[in-house]
Amino acid sequence: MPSVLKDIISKLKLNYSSYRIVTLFAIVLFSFAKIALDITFFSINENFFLTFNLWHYISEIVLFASFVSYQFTLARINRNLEHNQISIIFNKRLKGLLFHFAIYWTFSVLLGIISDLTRDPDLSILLLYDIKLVYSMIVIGNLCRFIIDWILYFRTPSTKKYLTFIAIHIVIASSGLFVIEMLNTSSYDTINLITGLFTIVLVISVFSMPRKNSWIASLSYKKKLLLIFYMLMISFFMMSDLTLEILNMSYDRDILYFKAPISYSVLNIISLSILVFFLRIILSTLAAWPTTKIVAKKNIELESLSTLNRFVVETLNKSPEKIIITASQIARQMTNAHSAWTEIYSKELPKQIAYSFNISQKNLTYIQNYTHFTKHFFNCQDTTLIDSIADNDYLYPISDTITYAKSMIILPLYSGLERLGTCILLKDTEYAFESEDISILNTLSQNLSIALQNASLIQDSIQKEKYKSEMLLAQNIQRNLLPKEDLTTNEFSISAFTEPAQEVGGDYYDLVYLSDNTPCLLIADVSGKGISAAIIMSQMKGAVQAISPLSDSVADLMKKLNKTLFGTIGRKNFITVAGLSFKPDGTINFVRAGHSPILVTSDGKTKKYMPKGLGIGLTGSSLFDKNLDEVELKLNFNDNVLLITDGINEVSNEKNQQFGYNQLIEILEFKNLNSAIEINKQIKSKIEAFSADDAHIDDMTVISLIYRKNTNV
Amino acid sequence: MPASNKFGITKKQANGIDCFYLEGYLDAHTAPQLESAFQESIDAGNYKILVNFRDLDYISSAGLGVFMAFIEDIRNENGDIKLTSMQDKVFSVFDLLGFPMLFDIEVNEINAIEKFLSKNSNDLSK
Repeated sequence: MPSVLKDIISKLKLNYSSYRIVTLFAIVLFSFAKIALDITFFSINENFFLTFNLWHYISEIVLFASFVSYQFTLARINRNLEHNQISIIFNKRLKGLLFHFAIYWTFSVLLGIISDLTRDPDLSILLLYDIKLVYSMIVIGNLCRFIIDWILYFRTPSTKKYLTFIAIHIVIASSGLFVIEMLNTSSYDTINLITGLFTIVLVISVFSMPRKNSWIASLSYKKKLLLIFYMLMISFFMMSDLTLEILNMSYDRDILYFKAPISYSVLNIISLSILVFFLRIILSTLAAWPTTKIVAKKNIELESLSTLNRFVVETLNKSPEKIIITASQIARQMTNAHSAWTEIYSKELPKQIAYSFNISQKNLTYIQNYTHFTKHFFNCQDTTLIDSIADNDYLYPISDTITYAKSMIILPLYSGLERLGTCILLKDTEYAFESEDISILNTLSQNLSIALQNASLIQDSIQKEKYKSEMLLAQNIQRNLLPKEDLTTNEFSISAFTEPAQEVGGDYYDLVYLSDNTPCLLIADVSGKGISAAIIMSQMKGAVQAISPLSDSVADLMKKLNKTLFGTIGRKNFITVAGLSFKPDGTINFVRAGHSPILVTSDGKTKKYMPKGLGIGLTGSSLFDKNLDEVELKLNFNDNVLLITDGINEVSNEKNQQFGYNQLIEILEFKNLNSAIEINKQIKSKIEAFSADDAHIDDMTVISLIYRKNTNV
Repeated sequence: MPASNKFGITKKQANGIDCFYLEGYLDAHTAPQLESAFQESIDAGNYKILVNFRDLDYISSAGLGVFMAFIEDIRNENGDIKLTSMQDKVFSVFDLLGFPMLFDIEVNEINAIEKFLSKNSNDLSK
C-alpha cells in the first residue's frame, strides 16, 4: 500500500478493515459501472470503436489493479501456526481455488462455443464476456493472494528482495506483451526480445526463489498427493484457458475487442509465474516422495516424545497406579497393539492387573494361573520383542487363550531400580512390531521411572511439610512446659536454658515448691530423643506438678516420682533426674537419680558430686529408695552450682573429642562472673566454639545458680 | 559424634550360655540390632545371656534401655543378663545410672560364666 494512501487513510481515520470494506465496495461499484458502460457503448454506436477500446483497456487496468490490491490486503497469515495446521489451511484453500477454476473453465468453454456459434456478436455475449472478466479477476486475485500467503509463511530473509524483483519483471514483461498485443504484429523484434528476456528472467527467479519447502517432506503420502493433484489441476485449467483464448483469437479476429486485452498481458505473465511456482512445489513434493515413510515415522517418534514429556509433567500429583495405567495406555497407543495388559507386582507374586485392553477377564485369569509364565515376565529385565508367539512353545498360555495374538512385546516397568510391573502388548500378525517400537517403549519406560520417582518425591515433601508443621506445634507445646518466669530469687541468681537436638526433645527443667514451700530445681533427661522422649517428658512434668507439693524433701520427691513413673513409661525408657532444693541461708539439698554429676564451686574450687541414685523408671521403689542418697551443703556467698544434662559434656568436636567437664569448671571458677545468665552465656559460646557443627546430636540443658547477698536488704 | 553405623554383634555359645560380643557404638540407631539378638535367644529358650563389652566404645541411653527391656522377663525365667569386660568410659555410663545395683557387672567373662554355672549347680542341689 503506497504511503500516500496510508496518509489518506490516517486522515480519514479509517482503520484497516474499514479501508478493506470501502475498497471492496468501490470494486463492486466499478465492476457494475464498467458492465453498464460497456453495454451503453455497444448499443449506442459501433462507430465509437476506438473510444470503446480505449475505455475497455483503461477500465480493465483499473479493475485488475483494484482486485489484486484488495486481495493483497487480505494476504495475512499467522506464522505461529504449526506446519501440520498450515498444510491443512493451504490444502483447503487450494481445494476452493480448484473449484473456482473449474467453474471458470467450464464458463470459458461454454462461452467459446457460444461465441463460435453466434458469428455476430451481440449484447448478451458482451455481457457474458464482461462477467467472465470480473470472475477471472476474482479467481486470479485469489490465487495471487494464496501464493503471497504461501511465500510469506515460508519466507526467508531474502523473500522481500525476490518479491520486489519479480514484481518489477512482471510489470515490464506484461507491459511488453501488452504493447505487442496492441500493435498486433510480430515485427517489433526489440520489444519481443526485451519481453522475452524479462519473461525468462522472471521464470528463472520465480523458480529459484528461496523458500522453506522442507516441510513438504513432513507431509504424509495422502497430503502430498492432494497437493500435487490440486496444483496440477489448477495449472491445467489455467493453461487450457490460455489455449482457448489463443485458439479463439486465431480463428476469430472480430471478437477481439470483446476480450480483455489485459488477459493477454498481465494475466498471462502472472499465470506463467504461478505455473512456474506450482511446478517448483510439485517438483519439491516429488523429490520428497521417497522419504515420506521415514519422515512419517520420525514424526510419530517426535509426537511420542512430546506425549512422553507431557506424561511426566501431567502425572506429577497422581498415584503410582494411575501413572502406570497412563503409561500402559500410551504404550498401547504408540505401538498400535491390538491387546495389552499390565500386571503390578506387590511383595508377593501373584500380582494384580492394573490395566487391560481388549482382553477378557477370563483369559487374563487363565494366563495368570500359569505361574511359570508370569515368572518369565518378571524375569524379563529389558523390553523384549517376540516376533512370533507360535515359535516359542512356552508361550502356549497366550496362544491358547488369545488365539489371534501372533507377536508380542514384554515391557518391564520400573521406578528407579525397583521393579513395579510388566506391560504385555499383543498384535495379530507375526513380525508386526517394529524395532522403533522398542526404542520408543524404552524411552517410555525411562520416563515412567522418572514420573514415578517425581510423584513419590512430591508425596514425600508434602508429608514432610505436614510433619514439619506438626513438629512446630509440638515444639511450641513443649516450650510452654518449661518455666517462663525468671528463676532468680533474692538470694540466688538462677538461669537456665535448653536446646533440643531435634524440634522437640527429652530434656526438662523446672522450678517447683515442696510442701514446706522450699523452692526446688529439677533437671531431667529422658532416655532417647525426639518425639518419644518428648512425650515421656510431658508425662514427667505432670507427675512433678502433682507430687512436689506433697513432698517433704527433694529425696522424697524423687522417690514419689519413681513410684509414679516406674512401669508407666515403658521398660526401655528411663529418666535421669537431679533435684536441688535451696534455702535463703545458703543451705542446699540435692539428689541425683542416675543423672550427670552436680558441680558445686565453693571458694573457687569445684567439686563433682555423684551421690548414689538410680535412674527413674529403672526399678521399683524398694531398690530405688534404698539406693538414693541426699547431700546437704551450706553455700557461701558467690559459691555456685551447675546442673547439666549429658548433652553438654558429650558435645564432640571434629576429632571426636568430648567437651567434658574441665571447660565448665574453668568457667565456674572464673571469679568475675557474678550472674547466672553470664555463666550460661559463657557455656554456650564455649560449646559453640568447640563443637564440630551447629547441629548437636543430643538435647542440651543447663541450670546455673549463684548464691549471693540478698540484694533487696 | 559417635559413628552410629559402626556396630557389630558376634554371638557364641558356651556351656548353655549365649555370649554376645559387642563392638563399636550402641545407640538409638543400633540398639534394635541388639534387641533382636536378645529376642532370638529368648525365643530359643535361652535365658542365660552374657554380654561382653570389651570392644564397645560408646553406649547411649537408648542402648542402656535394651538391657532394661529384657532383664525382667529373663529373670522371671530364672535367667540373667550378665555384663562383662567394660571399658572405663562405658562403665561410667552404667555407673552414673546406678546399673551396678541392677545388673551383675563382672570384670571378665570367666567370673560371669562361673556365676552362671554355680547358680546352675545351686539350682540342681536344691
